[in-house]
Amino acid sequence: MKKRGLVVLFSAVLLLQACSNKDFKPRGIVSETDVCKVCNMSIVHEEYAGQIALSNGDYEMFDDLGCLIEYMKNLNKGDVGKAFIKDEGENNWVDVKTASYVYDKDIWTPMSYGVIAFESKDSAQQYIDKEGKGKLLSYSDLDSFKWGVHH
Amino acid sequence: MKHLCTILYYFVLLWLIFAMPAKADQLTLQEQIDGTPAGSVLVLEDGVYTGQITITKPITLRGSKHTMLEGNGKESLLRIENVQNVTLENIHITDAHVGIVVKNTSQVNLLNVQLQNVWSGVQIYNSKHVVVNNLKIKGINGHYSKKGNGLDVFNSNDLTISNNKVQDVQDGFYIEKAQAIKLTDNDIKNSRYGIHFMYTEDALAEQNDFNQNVTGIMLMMTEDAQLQNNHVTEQNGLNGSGMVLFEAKNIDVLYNHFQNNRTALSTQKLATSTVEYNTFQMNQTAIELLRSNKENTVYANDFVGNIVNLRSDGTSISISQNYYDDYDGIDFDDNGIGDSPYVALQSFGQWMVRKPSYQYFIESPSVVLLNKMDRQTNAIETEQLVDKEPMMYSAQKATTEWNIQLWQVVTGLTGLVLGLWLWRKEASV
Repeated sequence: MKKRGLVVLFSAVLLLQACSNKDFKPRGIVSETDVCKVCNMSIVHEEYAGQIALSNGDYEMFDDLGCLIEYMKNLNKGDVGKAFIKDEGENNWVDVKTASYVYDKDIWTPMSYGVIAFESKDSAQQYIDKEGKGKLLSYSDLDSFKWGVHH
Repeated sequence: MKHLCTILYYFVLLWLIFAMPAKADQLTLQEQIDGTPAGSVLVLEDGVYTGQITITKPITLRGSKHTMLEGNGKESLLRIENVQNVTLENIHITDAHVGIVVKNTSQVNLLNVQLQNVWSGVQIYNSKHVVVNNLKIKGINGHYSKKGNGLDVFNSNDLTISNNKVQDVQDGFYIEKAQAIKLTDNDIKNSRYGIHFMYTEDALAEQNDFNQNVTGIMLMMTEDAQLQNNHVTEQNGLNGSGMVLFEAKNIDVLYNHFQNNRTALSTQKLATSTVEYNTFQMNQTAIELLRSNKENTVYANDFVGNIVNLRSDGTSISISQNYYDDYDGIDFDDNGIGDSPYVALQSFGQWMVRKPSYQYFIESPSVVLLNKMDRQTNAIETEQLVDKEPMMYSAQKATTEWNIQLWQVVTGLTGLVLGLWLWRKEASV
């Protein structure tokens, strides 16, 4: 009897642990139905899109990095599972917190905020060197960044 | 050897016929443009002209009845750059990535141009005093996320865009950072947004027709705009809206007709704006107010046959003297204003703001019951979504045009007289 109780307890602990170690993954965009949670625009330029996998299992989609950051500021820390943004160069999802960013007033984005994301600092720097314009930003810089059109 | 000479002779003859440089009357279109003096009119004969074209001098390029410019579908076809006083008229453009690009110009007129099978129709950058009239733009097949816009305007001012028909594109008109722009009598359908304003000032959208787009007018971060007398119908997809006003200031929405939209008018972060003299008819939700400020007014509108007239996230707004077809108050003093307030607050309407997917339960028995309970409890609501002066009659005078056809009246009267005569004749027998 005691053994059976231990087995049940062990299984329950394993199950709870499995639930708490949720692996948050990005989901694909559905252009027909996905709209930005902040500005309401349909997400048609996937290369600039972002998303937040909430800890409750829901997803919120965004058409521009600026909308995603604005929404994240109003969330409790525990509500966010993981946030993703599209990599400018490769068009794959990268973690918002580890990505590097480039800002220039002439870079077009759906909300004209002019900030694009890269998976690594090197690829962001390569973009700046190649285009001859842009300022390198980190995730922490986005917090104080003045979102809005700058031209 | 003799045979070889003969073959060589014919080869040289063929080369002379087909590979020699073109004569004056066989010049390419670009060569004809280059040879046209500034200020002149170049009239193009009927026919198909291929190859990219650039206009950098003040001329008028006028097509005939069947003049067509044909591209390869991968590049911009016609460019007008760094120039003043260019007019393009009566041209048919097909198979281009972008039909016409206008850049760094002044006083450019695009008149009677037809564009089809183009990824994007016209793009205007850094220009002023531009007229776009009577264009017909039809995009490529497929989902709107894979297409360009009908007409793009960037960093330009003083534009008049009128009498155009646009369909099957991403946004009919995408207007970014423009000033003094007038969009009148345009017809936009089957696209994502009819007109998409971004960071624009001093805009007028008047007498346009929006049908079966995701959203008729999407207005974002824009100031000082008038949206009036537009006909906004059947934007009724999952995310469909007649108009969305986002983070905007000083917007007047006047005399528009909204019919059969999922949400007719959605406002978010709207300031010092007015919604007056509009008709909201048979929409799922007529007006949705989110995070908007107190200085907005909803005045003298008609709400007829909508499922939800007004809903909000608690946003406060001035609502007065509108007509609601579901108002059941009475008017003892006969001044045309109901004696008791109209309360638009609906629990379910508020929930739909937070979870749009609830719209699919809108007429379910439980929701109908909830709405009935709301009506009982709403009597004590005095602040949120309350119109203290609801009108007993429509603010808009319905106008019906009488088209009396004389021949129909004569035929009808003759038939009536003949029938009466036959009836009397048979009765007398």
